[in-house]
Amino acid sequence: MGFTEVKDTVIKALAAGTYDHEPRAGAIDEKNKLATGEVTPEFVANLIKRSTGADYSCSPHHKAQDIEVHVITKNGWCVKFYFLEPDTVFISVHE
Amino acid sequence: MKLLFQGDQGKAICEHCGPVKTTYLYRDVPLSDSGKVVKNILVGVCDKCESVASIPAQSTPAIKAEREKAVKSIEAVLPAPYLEVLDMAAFKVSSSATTEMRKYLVLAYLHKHLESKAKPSDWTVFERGFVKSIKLPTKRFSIKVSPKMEDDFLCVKDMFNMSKTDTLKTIINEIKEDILDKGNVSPEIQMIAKMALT
Repeated sequence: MGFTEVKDTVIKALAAGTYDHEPRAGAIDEKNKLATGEVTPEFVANLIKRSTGADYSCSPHHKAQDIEVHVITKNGWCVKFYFLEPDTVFISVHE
Repeated sequence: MKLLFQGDQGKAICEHCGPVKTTYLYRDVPLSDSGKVVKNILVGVCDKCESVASIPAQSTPAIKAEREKAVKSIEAVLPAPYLEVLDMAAFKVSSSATTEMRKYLVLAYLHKHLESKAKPSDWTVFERGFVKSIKLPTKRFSIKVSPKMEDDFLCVKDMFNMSKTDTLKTIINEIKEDILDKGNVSPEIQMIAKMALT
């Protein structure tokens, strides 16, 4: 999946609320500021909209090698997520 | 927004089992850093090992509310007249007001300064009325607030370039000037009073 398609898919998921958050050791990861409500879905979507290919990287999920974890860093923020059809799962959203 | 219900099926990558099917159930889930527990939120539970494998977007408001519960405090030791005028102002706003109303008045006036960036009033004018030769008793002013409200207070303190005590003296002086001296109870303060007393 190319960067443009990744961007479009995650932005749509944020708008539609079709996303979950990955817990860490069975707990709500306070490093995920989207999960804790410290930032809004709109804030994250705007960050991602302004990102370019230079802000993007991906690597396999450590528990599922065929799932790509997408990382977008923009304006000092880092957003990590992956797609688990039909939804999106956020691992972290932090400065 | 997509809404999930107890019993709905989903998918997740469980940290123990890898890719799994999940069932959305209500659980108590701890926060990773503070250790607080967010009670009874909908989560995706791994169908294999029954651990929490995902947290849907709709559980975020409950998580936010738990994190923002009043855990910080704004405190100062003030000459007794400051607490007395604050309580008198609260009584003027509503005769049913309790000392709890102190918190709402102080926060409302702090918020006004954050919005308007107005210059602080001169609290020393109020103290010129104190009889210098008599040592006044002091009282502790203490209100429990959320971390966000504490940040707002510190922001106003920095704007004023004063100590926490002098910032509180300034705010209480402004409450005295508006509500007691001028008899102005703004619609915003009246609304806050109604909500605080229900």
